[in-house]
Amino acid sequence: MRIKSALIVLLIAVASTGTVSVTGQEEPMPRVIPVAGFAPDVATVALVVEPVRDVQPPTLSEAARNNDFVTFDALFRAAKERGEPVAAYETLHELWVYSVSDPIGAFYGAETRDRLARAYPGYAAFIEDLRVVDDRGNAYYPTSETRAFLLSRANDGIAPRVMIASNRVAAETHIAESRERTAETPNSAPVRTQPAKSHAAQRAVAKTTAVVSAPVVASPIVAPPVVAEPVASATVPTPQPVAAAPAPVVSTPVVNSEAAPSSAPENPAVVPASPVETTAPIARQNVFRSRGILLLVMGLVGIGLLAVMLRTPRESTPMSIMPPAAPPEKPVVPVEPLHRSDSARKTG
Amino acid sequence: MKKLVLGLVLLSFATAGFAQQRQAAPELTPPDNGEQWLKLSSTEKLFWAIGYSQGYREALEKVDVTAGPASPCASLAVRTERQTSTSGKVSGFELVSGLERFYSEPANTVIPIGSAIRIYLLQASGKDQTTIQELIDTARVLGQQAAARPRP
Repeated sequence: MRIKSALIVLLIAVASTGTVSVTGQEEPMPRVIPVAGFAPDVATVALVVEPVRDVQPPTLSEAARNNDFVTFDALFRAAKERGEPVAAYETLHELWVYSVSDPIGAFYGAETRDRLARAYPGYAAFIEDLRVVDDRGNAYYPTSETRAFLLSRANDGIAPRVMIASNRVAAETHIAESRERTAETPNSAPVRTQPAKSHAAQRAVAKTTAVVSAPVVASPIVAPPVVAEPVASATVPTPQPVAAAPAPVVSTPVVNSEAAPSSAPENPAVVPASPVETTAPIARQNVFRSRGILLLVMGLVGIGLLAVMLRTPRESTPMSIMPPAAPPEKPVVPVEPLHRSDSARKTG
Repeated sequence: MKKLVLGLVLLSFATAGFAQQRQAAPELTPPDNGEQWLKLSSTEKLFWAIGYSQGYREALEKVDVTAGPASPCASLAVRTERQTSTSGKVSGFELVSGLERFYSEPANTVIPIGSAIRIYLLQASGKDQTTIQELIDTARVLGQQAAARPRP
C-alpha cells in the first residue's frame, strides 16, 4: 500500500515537473517597449580614416628590385602574353630563371659571361672583381650582382637580348625526344613520374651527366618547393620557344657544351592530366556529403516545427458564459494588512 | 686650480678617445635570416656557406671527442650529422644557390638561415612537398616571432 502510494506520489511529481517546465517554456517573453524619447536605431555609416587607394601591382622593375621572383615571373609572362613590350627584361628574366632552376644557379660560367660582355659595354669591368675561381681554376660569376646590373640597364632601356640559359634549349629538346619515345612505345603508361620523382634521383641523374657536362636545368617551377604558391603550381608555364627567339648578340650556336639532358620536369603535357583524375571523386564525395547535411537539416527543422505545433496550447473557447458577479452591497474598503509593531510584539 | 680643471678636461677627452678607439674595432655579424643574407655579396655568401658547413662538421666531431665515442651524445651527433650536415651532400655553390632560390620568395626572408638550410637539405633529399610546405609555414611564423622580439 505504501509502495503504491509512493509510486503515485512520484508519478504525480514527475508529471507536475514536466508540466511546469513545459508551461514555463511556453510563457511568452515580456514585450520590449521602446522608451519614448530615444531615437530608433539607424544604420551607421563607417567612414574610413584614410582614403581608399587602389592597390597597384608592382611593376617588373619593382619585383626585380624586391627580389621577388614569383611576382616577376608572373608579371613577365602575363605581359608577354598580352603582347606588351618586355624585351628590356628578357635577358634578366632568362638569367633569373636559370638562377632558380639550376643546382648552382647562383653562379654561371665563362661562356655566359662572354656573351654578356659582348652585349653590354661596361659589364666586363663590372664583373671582373666579382669573379670566383674554384679549386680547378674555373671562373664563376655571380648571378645576383649580374641581375642588379641587368636591371639597371633594363631601367635605362639599354637591354640587348642575350641568350643566357641556352641549356633550356637542350632540356626542351630532351623533353621532345622523350615525348616522342613515349608516343612510340605502345601500352606505355602516361608519364607522371616527374612530380613524384624524388629530388635526390634527379640530382643523381644530374651528377652522373655532370661527368660529361656541367649541371643542368632542374625543375624550374614544379620542383622548387619554395615556390609553392597556388599560382605557380596552377599555371604551369609552357616552355618558351627559346630557340626560335632571335638572338642578335649571340654568335655562337645555340647548343653549347654546358647543355645536358635533364630530368625534364617542365613537361607541359603531363601536368594538366592530374587535376582531372584527382578532383572528380572529391567533388562526388562533396555532393553526397552536402546532400546528407541538407537532409539532416531539413529533418531537424521538421522535428522542431512538429514540436512547436504540439506544444502550442489551443486557445480554449469559453464553454459557458459566466454570470457577472453581483455587485457588493457595501463598497469594499481596502484594508491594509495589520502590521504589528515590534514593541507591541514584545509586549504582547 | 686652473691646472686641475685643465687636467680633468684632458682626462675626459682621453677617456672618450680611448672609448671611440675601442668602438671602432671591426665587427662582422653573420646573417640571421634571409633579409640579412640578401645584403651579402655573392662572394661573401659563398665563403659563409663553406664556413658554415665546415663549422657544423667540426662541432659535431667535437661532440664525439668530448662525450666519448660510444656515448649517446656521439650517436646523436652522428644522427644529426646524417640529417642536417651539408658536408658531403651539397657543395658551397649549391648551398648558396639553394638559399638564393629559397629567399627569392619575399615571405621566406624572415626565416632564420639555419632553418632555411635544413629545409633546403630536406628538399634536396626528396622530402615530400607537403611536409616541406608545413615546415616553411612553421618557420615563417617562428621567424616573424623572432623578428618581433627585441634583440639583446
